[in-house]
Amino acid sequence: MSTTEAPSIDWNAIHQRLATATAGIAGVLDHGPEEVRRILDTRARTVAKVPPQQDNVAHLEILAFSLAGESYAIETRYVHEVCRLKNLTLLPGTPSFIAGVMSLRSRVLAILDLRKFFEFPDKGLTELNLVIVLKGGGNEFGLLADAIDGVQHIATASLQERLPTLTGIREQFLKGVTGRMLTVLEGSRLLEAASLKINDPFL
Amino acid sequence: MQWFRNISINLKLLVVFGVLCALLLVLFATAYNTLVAMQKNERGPVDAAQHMELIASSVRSDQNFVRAKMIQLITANNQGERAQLKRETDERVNAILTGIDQIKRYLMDEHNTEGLTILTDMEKVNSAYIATRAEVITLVETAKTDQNDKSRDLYIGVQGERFDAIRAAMLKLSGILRQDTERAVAESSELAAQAIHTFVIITAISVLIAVVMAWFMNRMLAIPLRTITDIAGQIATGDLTVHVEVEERTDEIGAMQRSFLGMVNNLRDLNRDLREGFSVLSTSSNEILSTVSQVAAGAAETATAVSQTGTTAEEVKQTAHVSHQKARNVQESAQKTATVSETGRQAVAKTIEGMNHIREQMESIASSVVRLSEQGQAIGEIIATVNDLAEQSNLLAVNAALEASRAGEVGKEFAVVAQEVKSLAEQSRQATTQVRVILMEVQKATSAAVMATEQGTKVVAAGVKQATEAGDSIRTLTESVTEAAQSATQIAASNQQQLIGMDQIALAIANIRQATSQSLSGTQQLKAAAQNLRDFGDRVRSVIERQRVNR
Repeated sequence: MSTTEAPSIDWNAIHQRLATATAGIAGVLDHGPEEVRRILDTRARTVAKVPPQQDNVAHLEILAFSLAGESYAIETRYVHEVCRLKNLTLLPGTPSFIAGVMSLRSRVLAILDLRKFFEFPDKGLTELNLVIVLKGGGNEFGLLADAIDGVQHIATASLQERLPTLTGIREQFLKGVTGRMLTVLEGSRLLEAASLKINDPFL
Repeated sequence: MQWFRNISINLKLLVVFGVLCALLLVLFATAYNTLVAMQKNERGPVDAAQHMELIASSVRSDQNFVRAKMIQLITANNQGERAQLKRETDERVNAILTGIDQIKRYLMDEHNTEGLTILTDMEKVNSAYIATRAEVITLVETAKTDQNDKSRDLYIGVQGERFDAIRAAMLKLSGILRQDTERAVAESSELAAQAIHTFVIITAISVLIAVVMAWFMNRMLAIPLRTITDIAGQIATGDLTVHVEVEERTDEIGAMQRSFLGMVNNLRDLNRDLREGFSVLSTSSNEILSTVSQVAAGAAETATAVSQTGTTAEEVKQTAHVSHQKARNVQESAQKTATVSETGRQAVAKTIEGMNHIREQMESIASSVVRLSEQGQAIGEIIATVNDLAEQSNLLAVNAALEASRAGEVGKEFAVVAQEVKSLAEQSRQATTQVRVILMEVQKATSAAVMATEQGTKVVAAGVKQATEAGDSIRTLTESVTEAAQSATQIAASNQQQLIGMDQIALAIANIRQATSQSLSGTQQLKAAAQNLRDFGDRVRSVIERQRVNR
């Protein structure tokens, strides 16, 4: 007798919600060609705006990337390309900052781990699945990165001089720090660094 | 001592007086022997010694006489005178020899060596003396005048010395013999003293034995008799608590003690039996009395109860009528209930069927939801692919921007395009992230749905079980109701018989009432008889209890 007092299921409401959901899915998927075109146009217009650049100000074109939760950048003129890390081969007898070598389009490329190079303490888990290939002065190697944030332009004036707290090897390879906590590395020094002459024929 | 106890009193007296007589005889014999011994001693040694002393003195006087006569003989002129003197001296010489001989025998009897030595020496001198005398006499008889002087000299000289020696020896012997006499007298008095001593000892022993005998007889006869007399006195006063001591003896005293013990025991047993018997009598009469009282009370109650029972029987009859009617009603209700329960059973069967249907539906829902979950997995895989594509697009856009940068001013517009491609790739990536989150929630919801369905299935199973139990209960209920209907029919029939029985009971009660009134009068008489019996028992018991049996 108590079954009549039990809360009965409102099947009508359920059916209605289900129909709404189905219709919603159909609506999302069935944008018309003109609707899609409109969205794309809007987006193109938004992103196609040329960033307001004062030509009279010195600019620096950099490639920003993330490593172990920190943001770094390097001038694009030292960057050859970016690619995914794959088939990393460990090399015995190399310094600890050399993570290994990988093959990139039939070329053997040394991979450098900046964290070990700058002697940062290991902390947190990182993805480390991207490689930034640096090239210049007859030297070529890859830097490990967690994420690539893209190419940016910054004013040279906004670059602060090196920090007084940094010393030794870190100071040597640092170009400056932007106001948004972006550490800009000195690409030429990295490429020229004697400690990174890994393509030394005598090695 | 046991043998003495066991002999009869006659024999005991005989033994005691016989012992006393024997003691007297012993005393008499001792006295007699002692007196005889003393007498003999007085007659024997003492007389002999005195006699010898006399002989010794007569020998000495004879010697004197012989010496005097010999001198006379020497000096005599006349032949006849000489012969006269010679004869006289010869007689005395013989007497002397006889005396010496007697003394010698006595000394030899007495074994007196000192006396014998003296005597032997003296005998030699005496022989020489006698020989010389004979020589002198011969000389005198030859009658030569000149030879008178010679014989006189001879006699005065040598014979005088010998005479002195003999005399001294005889005096010595006399002394020895006197000592003998004194010793014999002393022995005699010592014997008398010993006899007195012996008498004293024997008399003392006799008195002691007589006292012991008297004490013993007192203990053997007088004390037990006095004890028995005391006990008899106590029994006479009705005191049976006495303790009769029986000694191990077979004489008249022992027999008396045993007889007394038997008598006392018999009296005690008799007393105890009587006491117990009257105690039982008293108790029994009391019990009879109380029982009779109870019976009387019971009879009165029975009379009341019988009256009440009559009324109750009438009421029961009315009740039986009512219950007959009720039983019929119950029968009808039971039939209705059986119909209703059949309907209920069918409803339960339908419920179970419905439940099973619900369970099938639940299973169908579960499989649908699982299928949904599997499709969600497929969506996840697709999203992973899209994410990968977005990342590759991102990298391509960066590389494009780099290329544009290297191209310098020419690539500036291309850099913008690359930037937009990168932005699109970023949006794609974010969209896939959102879709992944939603997909996770969908997955959780489907898991919950599966669990809810499972729970529902279990609930349905429990419902089926309960419904089955309800069906069983209803079946049991139907059976019970059917039995109740049958019972109601039987009750109706019983009620009919009950009515008939009630009439018979009313008749029986009337009979019981009459019997009860008769029983009441009987118990009154019984009560009076029991009262009399109890009074008698109490009187006898008080008499018996005056005697003391145990301390």
